[in-house]
Amino acid sequence: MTTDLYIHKSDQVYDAIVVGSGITGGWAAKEFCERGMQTLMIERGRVVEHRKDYITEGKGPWKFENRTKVDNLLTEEKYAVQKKCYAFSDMTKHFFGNDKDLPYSTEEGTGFDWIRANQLGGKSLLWHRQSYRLSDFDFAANKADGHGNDWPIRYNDLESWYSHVEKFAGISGSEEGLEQLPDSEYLPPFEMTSPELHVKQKIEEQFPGRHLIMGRTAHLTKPTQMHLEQGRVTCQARSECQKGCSFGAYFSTQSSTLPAAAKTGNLSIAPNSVVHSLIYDEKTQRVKGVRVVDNDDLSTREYFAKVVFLCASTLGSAQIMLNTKTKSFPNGIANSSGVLGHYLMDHNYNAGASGTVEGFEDEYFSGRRPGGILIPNFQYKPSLYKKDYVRGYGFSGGSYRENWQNNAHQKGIGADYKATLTKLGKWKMNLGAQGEMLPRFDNYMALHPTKTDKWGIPLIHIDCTWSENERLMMADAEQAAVEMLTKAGLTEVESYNSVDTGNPGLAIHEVGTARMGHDPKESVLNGFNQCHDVANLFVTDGASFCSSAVQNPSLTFMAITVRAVDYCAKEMKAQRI
Amino acid sequence: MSTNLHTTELENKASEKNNRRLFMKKMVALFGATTAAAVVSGCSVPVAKKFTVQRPNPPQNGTLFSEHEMTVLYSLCETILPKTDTPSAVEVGCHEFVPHQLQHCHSKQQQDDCVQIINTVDMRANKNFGKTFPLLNPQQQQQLLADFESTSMSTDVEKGQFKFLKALIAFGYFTSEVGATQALNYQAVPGGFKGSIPANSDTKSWGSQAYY
Repeated sequence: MTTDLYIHKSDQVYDAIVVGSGITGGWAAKEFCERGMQTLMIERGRVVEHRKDYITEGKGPWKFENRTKVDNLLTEEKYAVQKKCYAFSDMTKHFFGNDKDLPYSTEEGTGFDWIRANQLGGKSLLWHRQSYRLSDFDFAANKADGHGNDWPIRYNDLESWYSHVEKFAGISGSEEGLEQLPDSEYLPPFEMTSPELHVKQKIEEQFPGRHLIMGRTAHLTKPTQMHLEQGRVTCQARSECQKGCSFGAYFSTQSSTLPAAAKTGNLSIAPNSVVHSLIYDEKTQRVKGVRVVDNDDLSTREYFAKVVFLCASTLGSAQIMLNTKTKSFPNGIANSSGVLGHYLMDHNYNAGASGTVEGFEDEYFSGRRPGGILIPNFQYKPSLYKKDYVRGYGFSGGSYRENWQNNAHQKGIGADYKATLTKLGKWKMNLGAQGEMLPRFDNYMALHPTKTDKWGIPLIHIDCTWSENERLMMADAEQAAVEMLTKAGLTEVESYNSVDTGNPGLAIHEVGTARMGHDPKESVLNGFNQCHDVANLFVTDGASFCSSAVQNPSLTFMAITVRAVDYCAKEMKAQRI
Repeated sequence: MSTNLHTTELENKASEKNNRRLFMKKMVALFGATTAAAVVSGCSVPVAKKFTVQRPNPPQNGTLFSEHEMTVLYSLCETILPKTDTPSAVEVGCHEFVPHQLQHCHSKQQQDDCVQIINTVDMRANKNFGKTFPLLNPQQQQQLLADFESTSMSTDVEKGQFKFLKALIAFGYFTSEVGATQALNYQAVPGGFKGSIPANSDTKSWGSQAYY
């Protein structure tokens, strides 16, 4: 990568501006660049170079003063929200946003945990890499049961684009032929442990319609020529992905889309550029570019382009739009419908169970598998819904053998205690629910009426809570997890349901603030992620979702983004944009 | 019987003497000769009459534990995770890790709990054996702690406090380089994932974790 990739000031009118450099922005930039279009990627945070800036990679816990835990004072001061993320530690904290500099507010009596990663690559460096297609049942769900608006697209519209991104990103998984979870283009799946195979057999025998499969992850279990050309090699099963991976074994902007985009010579990147708002031309009814505040010295500058793609995250993209107030759009650009900021959703991960798998004492596993098993949603259409609530949930999970981390609290003193902690404990297996959250107008983000951040941008104010549907679903999911583990023969089964204390946001699957739709009166975007009101403005991140489904959304972010770029490029060529 | 008893007493005395000598050596290493002498002479360790937590010499300089509490913690580390075919908790510095970690990554309540439990254990030692915990012989130390976590010698709250401290010592040990790579089996770069490999009762657990 050459240094002239990075720009500071420029009068150039680019073909496309892509705001954001995460999973979505990386794909948008790559696709534009490969179509020969001059592309400017704008990133609010610092540059993170592949390999060079993975400063904690490969370091054992003893290399950290607090053995991977983060100092209390630092946490209090800077990471009061970020600390709730499972991946937050002294080994990864430099890739998380700083809550002190990035305040937001929530409605009194509500909470929303907003996890952020404001640097080049965004959350593509930190993501959990689970990659699943949505099915036709997901795209039809709103229409079928009347919650939310109808997605203007169906599975057919995305199928070839899923294939396109999967081949390039590299998705490991197994052919299953499930109608609720279409197969991807796969690299070989990770192996299951024997207890997982055992539980799979027991559950599938006793619960018709339920399947236990290997999770599908964006890891190179067997790289193709296409991956090797990106400079990526086989996954080493370290499962330390969030420190950054010099093998490039998991998909990230840095490992995959950015080098591909840069190779075309058509990419420029403006780092440390916080987008304040869009520049709108009332005459042409088009956006001309973006206003930027420098991340470091707070000076302002502008960038210009023929089209703008917002890939700044579900909350970030909506914030930029709401903060773009014009004569035609006093309540935020492209917001003639009034739904911008509304229908905010996340996934509900607040119930599950775990237990002991008897036997298998003469087996262990080797390596750290970067992901677990999945029980796909088995309530994916109205005929399968439970009586007292709509929609469904899946489970993720996995098995492990207890070790010192699990057993240090047990009784014992001296040599025997020490020996016990160094040896293999019981096999355990857990299941964690991944529940769908309904789209509701009342769950929204808006701009704070008075408070601004250090860049002079109004804070995001969030009012988002679980509804009765989500509560009933979690209670049911808890029971279902217990039932499946018990019937699979597990003992010491324990369960939890934290829906009363677990805020939305923490699944880090926030979607839905600028939803697509057929009708401009009730949606912001059309079926190609193009604003109904502004033809050269696109939003292709999670903001565009009409429903949350239960699948991890990143693969769909990728697919809708490349589809939108393809459409946009053709429209530009036909001079309709 | 009497001969045996006699022998045992002699052995105990010998081991106590050794123990005391060893203890002095460690204390000198920890705090220097003057303080070590003061601790061992007992002048800083009044015998507790009642089972209320007392801090004979609370620390002055912002440290969590007093010098005497550090000597008790040192002996707790040595007793809970002793030297076997791999080094002890003390040899990897757990007695220094515990106050560091408590002050940097734990709550005030957890810090207070650890101060309390160290003093509580020491008072039990004084009550049962008439000596401060570090001066008991290794068998007495082990027995006292085993009884402490299993019998009515301690309250549930005290058992909980002890459990927490013990787990923190174990955390310090198994996240140390020696603990993770010698006591356990460390895979820095596993090279791939295998769902099943043979294991037996001697197989060491992986010392390398994705999250700690």
